[in-house]
Amino acid sequence: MVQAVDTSYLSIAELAALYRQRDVSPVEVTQHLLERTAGLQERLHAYITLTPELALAEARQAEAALLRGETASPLLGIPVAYKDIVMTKGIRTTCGSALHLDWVPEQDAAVVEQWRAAGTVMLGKLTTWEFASGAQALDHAISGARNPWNLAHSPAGSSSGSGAALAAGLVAGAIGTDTGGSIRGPAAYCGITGLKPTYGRVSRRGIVTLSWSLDHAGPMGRTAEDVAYLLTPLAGYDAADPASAKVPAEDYVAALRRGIGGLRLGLATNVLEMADENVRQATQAAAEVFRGLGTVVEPVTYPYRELAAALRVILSSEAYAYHATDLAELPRKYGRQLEHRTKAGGLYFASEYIQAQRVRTIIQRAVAELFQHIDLLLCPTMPTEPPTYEESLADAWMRRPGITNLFNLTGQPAVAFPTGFSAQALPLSAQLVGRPFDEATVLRAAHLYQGVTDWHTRHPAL
Amino acid sequence: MADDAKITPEIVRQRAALAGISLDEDRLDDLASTMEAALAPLRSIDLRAIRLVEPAVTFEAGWPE
Repeated sequence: MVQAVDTSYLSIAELAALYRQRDVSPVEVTQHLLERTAGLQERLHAYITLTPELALAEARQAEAALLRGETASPLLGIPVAYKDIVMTKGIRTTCGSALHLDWVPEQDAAVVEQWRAAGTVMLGKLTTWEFASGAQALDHAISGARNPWNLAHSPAGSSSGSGAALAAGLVAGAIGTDTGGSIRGPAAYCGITGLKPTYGRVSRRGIVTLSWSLDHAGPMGRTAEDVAYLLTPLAGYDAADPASAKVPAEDYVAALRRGIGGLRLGLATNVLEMADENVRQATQAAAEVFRGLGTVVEPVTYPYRELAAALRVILSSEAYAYHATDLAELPRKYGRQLEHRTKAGGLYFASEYIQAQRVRTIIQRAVAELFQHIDLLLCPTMPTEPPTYEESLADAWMRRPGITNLFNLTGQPAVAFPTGFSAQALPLSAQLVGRPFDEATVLRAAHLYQGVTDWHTRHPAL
Repeated sequence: MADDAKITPEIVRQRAALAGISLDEDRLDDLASTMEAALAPLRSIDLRAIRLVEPAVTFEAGWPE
């Protein structure tokens, strides 16, 4: 087998086809990506831990399976990596924290088992913000990932390494987690595609908690089609995750083939106004593309948008419950900003936490009513283009109202996808939001958008 | 409507003392701003108008398998 093409940015379908034609092998692709990663790691910090021996062993297994004609899984030999709050048996899982620099779990997370069973090749553990919550300050024990489009800028978080590695052509798929936007934010700032599935759709067993009632796990890729491939083996009930839903999953790749003509797309104007001019224009242009694809686009108002800040009470309270003992005994093992923001979760009264969960019900009911009239909602992913890394560390930046967290409150599926570039050549993004457990429609719409646009095909110069 | 909506650094300090949580003085302003923004939605709602609304996360009686 001779590697005749640069495999860094090939789609999952392209890699799978080349494997089956024996034009390129999983071992060659794995070796290439490990070398590419080594060359970029010092500048990009996409990984916390690389697992080259395991990767090559899994690649050899995939290659042997291909040679035996065992080609049923489209993910066979596909290189992937996991955000480093996903537990991996025998491989350290730092959570991006000085507290867990040497923690080696004794079990794999469900998502690791599922992707391994599908034949993927694990390249390593990707940089995460500290406990999926706080960006690493410049003096942190673990270096924060940088944005491949401009290394002085933030890749967003907390799945920062997942976004950076995909944009830099270091993996074909990655796991992220999303409590307030941690899949979709990095997808937006890194110019890739990331899906926060419905709450309960993908098991969180073996993923370190930030906030039990808001945490989601999901796939990140460069295209909606890749995300569909990556989601299919992940979706389904897991009795070991109390939030897991007994709702049938489907083949999300097959679902891409249906059209979106006649679907009603709501453009959330009061969410649009949270974004700057760059982002607004790109989102409105995306709406016009969807109109051209046959959807009925109409302006809508997202209900109770102003109440969404209540998420902070829920997230902080639950995070404090998880971290209270370590915060009391080992506070200096936390980044200073994260230490105090997590401690704030211990300052809310129980009645305020419960009240925030009631506010959540109010929002959820109103959104359900809105979706009686639309099939999909379109809005920006992030309010601005990526800030510089230093800007992203500022208290004021951390306090700014978010857009992504609206859909953590409701638990709806939401996919972030590229919609253009700013004057600084930094990625812009919008998100499509669907009814609970209707990932198929969300991904199909994003896939059809990517069929008539080329933002997702552009790559940073590294 | 609930109490006074303003969260001051002094209120943060008082809540921390009640909870037995130690905070650095220079973080109080940021925490006050964060908490005030987070609590604002709760304080904007008339509790009497949402008597029948239950919290979003509910308990399930089934035992873990």
